[in-house]
Amino acid sequence: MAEWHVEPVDGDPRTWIVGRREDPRAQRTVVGAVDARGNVWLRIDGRTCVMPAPGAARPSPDAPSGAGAGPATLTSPMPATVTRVAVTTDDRVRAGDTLLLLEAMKMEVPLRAPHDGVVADVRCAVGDLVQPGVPLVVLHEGTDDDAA
Amino acid sequence: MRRVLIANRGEIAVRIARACRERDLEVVAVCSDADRAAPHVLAADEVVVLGGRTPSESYLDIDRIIEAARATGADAIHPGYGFLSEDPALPEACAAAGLTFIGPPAGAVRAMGSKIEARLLMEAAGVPCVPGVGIDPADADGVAAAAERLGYPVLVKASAGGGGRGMRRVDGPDALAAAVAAAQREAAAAFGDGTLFLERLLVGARHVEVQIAADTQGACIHLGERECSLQRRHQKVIEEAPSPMMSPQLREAMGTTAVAAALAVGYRNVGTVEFLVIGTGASAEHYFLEMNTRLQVEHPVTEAVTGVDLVHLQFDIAEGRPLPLARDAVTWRGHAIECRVYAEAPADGFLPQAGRLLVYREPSAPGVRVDGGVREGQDVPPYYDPLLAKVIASAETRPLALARMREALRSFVVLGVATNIDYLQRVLAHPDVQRGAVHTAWLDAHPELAQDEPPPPDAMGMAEAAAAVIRRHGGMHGTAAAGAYAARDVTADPFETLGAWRG
Repeated sequence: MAEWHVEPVDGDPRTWIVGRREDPRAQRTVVGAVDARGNVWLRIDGRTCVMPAPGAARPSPDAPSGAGAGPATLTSPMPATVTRVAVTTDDRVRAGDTLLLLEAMKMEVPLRAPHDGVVADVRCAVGDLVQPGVPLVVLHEGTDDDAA
Repeated sequence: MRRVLIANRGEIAVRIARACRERDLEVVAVCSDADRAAPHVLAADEVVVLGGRTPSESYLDIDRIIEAARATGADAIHPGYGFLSEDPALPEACAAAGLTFIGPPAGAVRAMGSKIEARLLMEAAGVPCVPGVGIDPADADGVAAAAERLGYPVLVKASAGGGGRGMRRVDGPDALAAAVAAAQREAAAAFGDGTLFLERLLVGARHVEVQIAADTQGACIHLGERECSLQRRHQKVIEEAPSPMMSPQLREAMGTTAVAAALAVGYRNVGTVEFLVIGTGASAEHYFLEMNTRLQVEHPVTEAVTGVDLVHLQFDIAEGRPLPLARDAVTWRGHAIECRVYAEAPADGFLPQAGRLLVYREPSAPGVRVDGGVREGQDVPPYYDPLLAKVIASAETRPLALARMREALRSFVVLGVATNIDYLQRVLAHPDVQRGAVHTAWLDAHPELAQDEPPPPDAMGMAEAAAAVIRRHGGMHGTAAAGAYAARDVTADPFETLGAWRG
């Protein structure tokens, strides 16, 4: 197991030198910062890496929030305006169906069903400015078979 | 002209303010409530807060902008790109208020603003156009018949369109109705006009555009081409000049067409005529796509290879001066490439990102120009285009320009908001891009480039060690902090080993 040596760079409070203790010549300059959620952002070797705050779930780009067993609560990934609501309560939807259209930074962003299910609640309307993390649609798990 | 109001924000407003100062013109900025401490505001002599947050409450409000010019004694308005730059109502309002508009006449903007009308004008002027036809979205049978006549794949486009909005590719009849509905919705929302037309999709075509400039005396020249084939969903990502496929003969032919297109609508000021190009060498054919009646985002690559400052040229023309150089006096030297740095998460479907820029450090090196519109500590607001900055690398040769870009992106540090910087590095490293063998669908055909590469073996260990120490210090070490920190004594949290490589 390598032991890493992290040293501040004088006069530049964001910049650090990371090296192997046993081989001080093999060093990299790292620029780092901690965001308000406690994630550490690093720039190493021309690449950016985000280390999540301890105890935080890993942000997973592929899985919409709440995917998996039980009711899924769908949220916007960023501040956005609701431009279309495609479902109402009790609608049966298939995985991948578009539930809402959001617009953010001039882009149309669809919010899709993470799994088959029944819409339990729609908590937004066209024109709403929505913040990330605020529930917009609640989706109950279910297939055509068990919902019938 | 003494005092110029810049009706825009971000990097282009900063770039125009710089040109104003070079000309000893005073600068008036306008801003929304979200932009009160943005760099374009800090770059100005005076600022008028338009209020609001969304573009329609602020940068798109012509009445408030004209009123701001009056209130601050500005005698000219520069629209930048985007926002009101292609709205003929702005030059008209300027004329009514006795202000100089730094851009083309309203008639030329209006003629080119309707893609359908522009096509008809161009065909009449003998300019070759991509086969296309206007459609009535309510007439499903008519739309289907039009698509059949053109031949699939087709593009559904908004007549008032631009920037890829209101545009959909359709590969067969089954997808046509949904695409027309989506394009109409998007076009109506974005431009207040849901008029659509269909165009044959030229598979494998390159997007090559020609920069033109026309003065008020009637002279019109072209300043060569820009290759903009690297687009993602019709949004340009990487541009270069010259085009790697260009021959002097084709440049001259396209330049002549572009000048004819501009003259056909009585164009004045700088503008860009976009073409699709099929084939290479002597057999290459070019088709008129549209004309952008404004300064382009990618104008710096033309500046780099011609030595002409296009914003100064805009001011010269607006002041009534003749073009400072004749058509045959334009020369091209070397090669330039531009990368657009966006606040977006490529691995997350290229979702636009908002948030605080904890660290923002632009690269600086020989042959590297950065046109930035943000500053460290600023919150990137969610209401506008997510462009943070443009990096332009130039050199005597294309390979050296590419190498300079690679190093510039490598040393560009943006932390706190996800960006496409690492994605751009992967795109540039691809052999097709290195060879210049790309077309307009190339980026969309390479979605794998959006995914983060696994980090090199040592990097994860380094990242964990650095993150532990940085977290312990709240992100910053004081200047008084001396000594080193061994990371081994930090209890490893299992989640810390799950860091996500962004880009």
